[in-house]
Amino acid sequence: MQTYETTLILSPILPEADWEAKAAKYGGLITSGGGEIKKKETWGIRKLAYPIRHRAQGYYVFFQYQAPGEVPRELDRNIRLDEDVLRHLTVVSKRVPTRPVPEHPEMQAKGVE
Amino acid sequence: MPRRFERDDEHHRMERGERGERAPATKKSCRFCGNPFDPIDYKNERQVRRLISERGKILPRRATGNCAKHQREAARAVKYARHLALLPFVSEFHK
Repeated sequence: MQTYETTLILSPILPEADWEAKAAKYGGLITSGGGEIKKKETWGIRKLAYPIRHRAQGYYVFFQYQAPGEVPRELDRNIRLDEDVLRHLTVVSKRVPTRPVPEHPEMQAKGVE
Repeated sequence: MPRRFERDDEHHRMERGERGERAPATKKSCRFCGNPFDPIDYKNERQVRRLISERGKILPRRATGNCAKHQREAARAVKYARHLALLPFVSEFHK
């Protein structure tokens, strides 16, 4: 199974309770599809670098999850139908090498590919 | 602590020869090859911002010193970040 990352930009005009409700809804979609959420981050209201649908700000929610391939597809389909999501992006998560334990300085010098 | 990657200052200094001509350009080393634990990440706005010009254009390899592999990753990251409105597609600059 692949690890995916999905970022949502929710409309800033939603009532505050709806942001978390939306995040929970899409999180639920991941788990119900057989995925496992590894990380959920709420970046909150951020200024957009350019206006999207006449909005200058957006509420950002980020998920990292391991799931079968149908999950991101299904998630994408649902998000597209949701007018409160200004923008979304799903990518395959990059594998990041973990830092070696500091006891082995030679390993650090060589690095991990 | 792991070594922090630092750009060698030697590479930046333009040394002048006797008649004022430029010393041959030294090869810059790719800053991402030097530190595999801190890869290019489209979510890291501070990092990705360094890969674009004032105008918002992707900096060429000759400016960033990236290797081919990391330049591809860098370009990809900038494009993802633009899609998420973390970076502008164009930034009008006011003098």
